[in-house]
Amino acid sequence: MELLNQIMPNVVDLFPDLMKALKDTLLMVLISGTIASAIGIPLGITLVVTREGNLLENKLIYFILGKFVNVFRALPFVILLTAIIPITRFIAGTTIGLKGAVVPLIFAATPFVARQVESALLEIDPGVIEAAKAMGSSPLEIIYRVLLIEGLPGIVYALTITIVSLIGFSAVAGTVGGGGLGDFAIRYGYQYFRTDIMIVTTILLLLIVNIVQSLGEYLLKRLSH
Amino acid sequence: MILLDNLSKTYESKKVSVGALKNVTLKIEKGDMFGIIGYSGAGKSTLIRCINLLERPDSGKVVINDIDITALSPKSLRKQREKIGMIFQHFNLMNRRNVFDNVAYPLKGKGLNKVQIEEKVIKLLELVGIKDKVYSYPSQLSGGQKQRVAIARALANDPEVLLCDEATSALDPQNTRAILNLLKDINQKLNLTVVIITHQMEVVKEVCNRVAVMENGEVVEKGSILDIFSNPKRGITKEFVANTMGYDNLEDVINQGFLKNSSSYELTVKISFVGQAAGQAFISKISIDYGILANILFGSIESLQGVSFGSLIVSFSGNSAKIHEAIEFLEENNIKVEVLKENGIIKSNNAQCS
Repeated sequence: MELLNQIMPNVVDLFPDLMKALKDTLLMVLISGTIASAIGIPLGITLVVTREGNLLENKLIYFILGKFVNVFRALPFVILLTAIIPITRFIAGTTIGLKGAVVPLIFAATPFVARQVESALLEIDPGVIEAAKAMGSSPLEIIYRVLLIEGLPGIVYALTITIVSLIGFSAVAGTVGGGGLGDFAIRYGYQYFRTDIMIVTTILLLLIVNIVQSLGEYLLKRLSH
Repeated sequence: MILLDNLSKTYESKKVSVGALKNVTLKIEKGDMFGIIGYSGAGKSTLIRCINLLERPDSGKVVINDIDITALSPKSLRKQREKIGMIFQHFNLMNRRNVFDNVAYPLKGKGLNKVQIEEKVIKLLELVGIKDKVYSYPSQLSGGQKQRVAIARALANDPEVLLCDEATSALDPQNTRAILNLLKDINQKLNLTVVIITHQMEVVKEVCNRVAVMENGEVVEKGSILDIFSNPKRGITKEFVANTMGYDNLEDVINQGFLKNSSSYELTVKISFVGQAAGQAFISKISIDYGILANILFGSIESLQGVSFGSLIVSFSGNSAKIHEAIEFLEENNIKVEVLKENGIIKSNNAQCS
């Protein structure tokens, strides 16, 4: 304890705040990740099946969804964050703190999930889908029993990448008052020149990213045959 | 019975439209092992995909057992597809399901309980001879084994028709033979109509009883396997037959200089025979009866559907009148004789002709 006090006095001082920031980051990522997946996965599936030559080809739906996804994907997160403030206020009632950060995070992550899921599902051999059609499967059956089963490793991997990106986004959201580790590092570390806080939060973020990445890769390996 | 009635299909690309099928009419009888052969791009894959409407023809009808499936609703079409099994060149198994689950896939949701599904799957795997791999994943199987699993899966709903789209093209010769024998076996055991798409005449020769030849989206020739092999009419058919029977190098054989015998009349002919005639020793008989020399340059005898069928390239030399008498005798015995070369002058420039 004595030693810790000597090398990083500020971290020890602000330890309860650091823990709260960690909790906020995890909460932000968890909530926005869950909601973004819940919307993004069906969106990704829709993009795949409505694509030209696919199961439920529909040029109009594909075009509109594709454009919608691209717009949100193209905007840098910092811009998105400020651009959608009215929407954030409408949905969350506030634009600051955890609640205020989650809405833009969802807006940023959902199209990301959709595109990732789309590319994962496009990897599935069209021959397998053709075989299912030939066996008399309906399009819905093919989505549930072929695309989602065969594409599961790809989807898991897509979600891993999404969570990693969300951790990054959440740090940015912190800078506009969203709370979390990013906010903590900037406010207490950067602005007060407390290097030890910067180092500790950086290590923490690295650790979280690594754990998520390893977990994702482990699952991917388990699920692939 | 499958009736393909005047099917046409055109693929539109940016500038050109390609006629994949042009007014194709085919009739496939119940219990047939029907081969459709053609080079790539001939439209045979499109044609077989029209049988279960994986591809919809622009015009024409597909009638299976008196049901016009081109007129069905999507739902009834799916029901109908359960009665049409299909296997593919690249097997198309689901990699994340093991052998059992792959075969069980089409059985789910058909009102069978778990025990019934298991019984059925095991029975099917026994039929295709791969029961020992029931919990393996496709990535752990060889090509031949994968195709066996695919056949089991295709047979799960007791289909009346089995469509094989280049089913042996990705297999080595040994596995090709094994899978073909399995298909023939199933055809006989289950009285299943089998339609085989291939670019290999060997495949057709091995198992089919009827064959259609496709070129540029059209069926240019069709008939029983024996008819097609013994009497091919179109150039492309002759080519396929020639390749299979080993005639493709004949021209070289015939044109070789060492065969020339300038001292007497020489006639090189191709003799084709079918059935009974093949068994008889016609060549030595005419050689003795007419006193002419017969030099056999090439010969092949095949058995097609239990009927022997063969051809010989023979060079006769001796008295020209005697030789022509001998040829008349052969023709009287229903043996087809075609003169290829007379005294060193080529008479038929297509040595591949049957």
